[in-house]
Amino acid sequence: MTRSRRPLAVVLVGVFLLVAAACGQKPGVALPEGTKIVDGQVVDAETGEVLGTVEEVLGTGTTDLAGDLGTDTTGTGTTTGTSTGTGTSTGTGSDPGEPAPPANEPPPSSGGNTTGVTDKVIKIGIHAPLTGAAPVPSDSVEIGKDLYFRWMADQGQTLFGRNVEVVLKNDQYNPSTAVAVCKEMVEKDKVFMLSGAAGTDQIQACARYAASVGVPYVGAGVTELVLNQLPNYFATTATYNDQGPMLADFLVSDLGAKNEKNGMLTFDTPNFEDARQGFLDGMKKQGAAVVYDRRVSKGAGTSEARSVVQEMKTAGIENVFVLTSPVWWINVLKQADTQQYEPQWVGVGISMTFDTVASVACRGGSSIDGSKFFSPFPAWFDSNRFDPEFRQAMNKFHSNENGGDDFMWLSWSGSKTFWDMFKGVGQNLTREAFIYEVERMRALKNGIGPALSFAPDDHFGADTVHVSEARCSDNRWHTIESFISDF
Amino acid sequence: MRTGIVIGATVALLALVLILGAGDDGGPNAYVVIGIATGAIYGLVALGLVLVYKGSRVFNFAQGEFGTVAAFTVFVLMEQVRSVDIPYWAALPAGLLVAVALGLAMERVVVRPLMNSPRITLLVATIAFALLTVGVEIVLFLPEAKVLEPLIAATDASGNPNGVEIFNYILEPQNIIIVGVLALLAVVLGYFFSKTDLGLAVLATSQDSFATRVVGIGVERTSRFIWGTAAFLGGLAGILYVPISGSLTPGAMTSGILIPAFTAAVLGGMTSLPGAFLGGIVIGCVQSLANWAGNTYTLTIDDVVKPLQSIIPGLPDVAIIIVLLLVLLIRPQGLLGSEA
Repeated sequence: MTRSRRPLAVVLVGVFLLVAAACGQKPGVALPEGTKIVDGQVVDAETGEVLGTVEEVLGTGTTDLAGDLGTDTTGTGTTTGTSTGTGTSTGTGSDPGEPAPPANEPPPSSGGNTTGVTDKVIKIGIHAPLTGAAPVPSDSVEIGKDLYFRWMADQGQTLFGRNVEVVLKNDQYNPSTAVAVCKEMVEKDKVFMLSGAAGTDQIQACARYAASVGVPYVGAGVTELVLNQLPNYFATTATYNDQGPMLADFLVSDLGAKNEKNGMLTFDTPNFEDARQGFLDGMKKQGAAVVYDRRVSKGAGTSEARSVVQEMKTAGIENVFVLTSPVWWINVLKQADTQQYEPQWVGVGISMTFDTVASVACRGGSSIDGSKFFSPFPAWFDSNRFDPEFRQAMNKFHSNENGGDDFMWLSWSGSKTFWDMFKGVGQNLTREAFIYEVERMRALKNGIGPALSFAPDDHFGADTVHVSEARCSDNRWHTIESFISDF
Repeated sequence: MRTGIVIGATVALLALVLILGAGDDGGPNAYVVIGIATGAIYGLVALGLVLVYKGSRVFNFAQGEFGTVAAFTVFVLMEQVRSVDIPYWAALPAGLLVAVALGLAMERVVVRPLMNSPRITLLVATIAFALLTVGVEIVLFLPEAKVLEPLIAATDASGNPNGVEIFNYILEPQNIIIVGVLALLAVVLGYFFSKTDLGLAVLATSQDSFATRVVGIGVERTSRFIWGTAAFLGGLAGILYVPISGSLTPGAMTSGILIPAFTAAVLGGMTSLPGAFLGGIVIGCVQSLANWAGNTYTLTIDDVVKPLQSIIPGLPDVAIIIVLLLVLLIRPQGLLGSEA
């Protein structure tokens, strides 16, 4: 499947400009340069100095503008295509995003499903593999799941008087378990929305369930299969389909793979098919050949790991795109070390770039050293470069955790995105309004993950990645390129 | 006599593959070596399964966890007891001791109270025990991958391999140890069950516990012996295998090795210890050669040339099932199996 974002973006921008012109926008209505609106006040974006109310600074008749900005705004009434409601919201450094394009349909009328939302709390449900084939450490996830929300509360920030409460459940890296726990969170815990950050099959399964009951699902971008049909699903990271051609570009442009022997090693699951095809198409476009294309069962063990290493070594494969579970890749790396085989490993996704993988693989040998993988978030090692508040929050709430780890860092990034989305929707938070508003959000930046731009017909909001490199000198991943889509 | 014929036929078959593949870098020879090396691991776990089945007619689904627990014990002693530098050779017996203690505890708490229950009840009980053990491992060690060093490192300080190169495949020292240990155990246990009083008592208990008790053999004692020895074998398999796989996670031996080991045990004959050895090697080789064939041979479909592995998903598993079905159709008791 191919999606064409650029023409869509051009059309939306064009429509926005036409509508803005039709509204008769006058000189002086726009915000002064270097300012933004916070709590109904126009403030200096850098110093935070209050310059006055929107009306005082811009004159009367400007409430629609405040509404159009979508976030960090006050205003009453409803503005076509963007946020609605009254109240206040606050920000902590995230970019509120560009004005959204006007919609072809009216926003949801008052009313709607407010399950999980009270005057004080927005309750959300997250599923993650705390056990199973690719587990994430439960202690880290427990700490990370609400770290950002605690930090915001500590800073006196709220979402129109509310904070976020997180319910976390173990999906055991199993799609049917994922559906069961998602159902439990919806029916028993009464969450407002669902989210998942790891495990393609589990994300797809839970998002499908969420769609069947009208619950918003905001999760990592994995496969586009099925998910591109779900009206409630929003991807906050680049999908495999997007990353495949980018990886081909990266291999050829940055790693000189055009005239080398390239291979691909993937688990045999339909949900990896778009990644495979995207990569193959990308390599073809780049004029590079993939001479080794190997699929292995998801239940592969040491025997398969040994066989594929022997095959690749014999075939002289120099670059390998690997898309498997981290545990099995570690097994492959171990066998590669034993066989003195050290290709350039590359890949996409999330779980491969956790420091645990580098740490375990480096202990077993050095084959992983120099591996380069796309990641939706920067390496934990570099977190201060992207958001120093993360370490500050860790030091404040968990000073014995030595600055946390990448699972907490990923959770922080995700929480920041949720916060910005809720802020953008406004005070009158319903499931219908959330879906309506989020699919009109543009250039939503949290400074860590990719900028997000959604549209009613495109819920895959991200198209940039970070590039992480494994280094056995400190057994960690390091960020070598950021917010990049062209190499 | 029959045992010799079956083993001879298997060896001859593998030799034939090696001869046909000689001189071809992309040929099957390296995969026969991989098969034997991996099959030895299956065989080691299968030995424990056969021992328990032989002695108590129970399919023990907790056999893998004896190995995982032993591996975690060695890991804790070597990696987490920082105050004392405990060497591998000292940690290994401790790991085995913990595995045996677990086996004896299981025998006392789970197996003996259910000894007169239907076998299916005991089978389910062993599954429950395995799940409980995995749960405890998760609580104690978290579901994170950990590293267990091998007895002898795969490479030396300058990065050169310590193993032996056979048909362009470097067999690491740890795997050579496994093959050696497996062969030794198969012989020793085979002798034990056929030539010693205790071994014969174990076999007698499995066939008729009442009659055995009548002639003065302690059923409880033989049961303890069986489960303790099976746990020892499982522990040994875990400690030796985990360093080869690259990571140690809760349930590692159950999720990664138990099913092929069970297949090996059934293929070899659930009552034959040499059969477990042979079954492990055969399963390992079938799996490995299927991997090789799947990537070597192609079919043309709609003018597109595709390797077999992309046409038949999970080809190694399919190959194992076919071999298992063929053997069981011809010899329902397995390659070397017979009534105990």
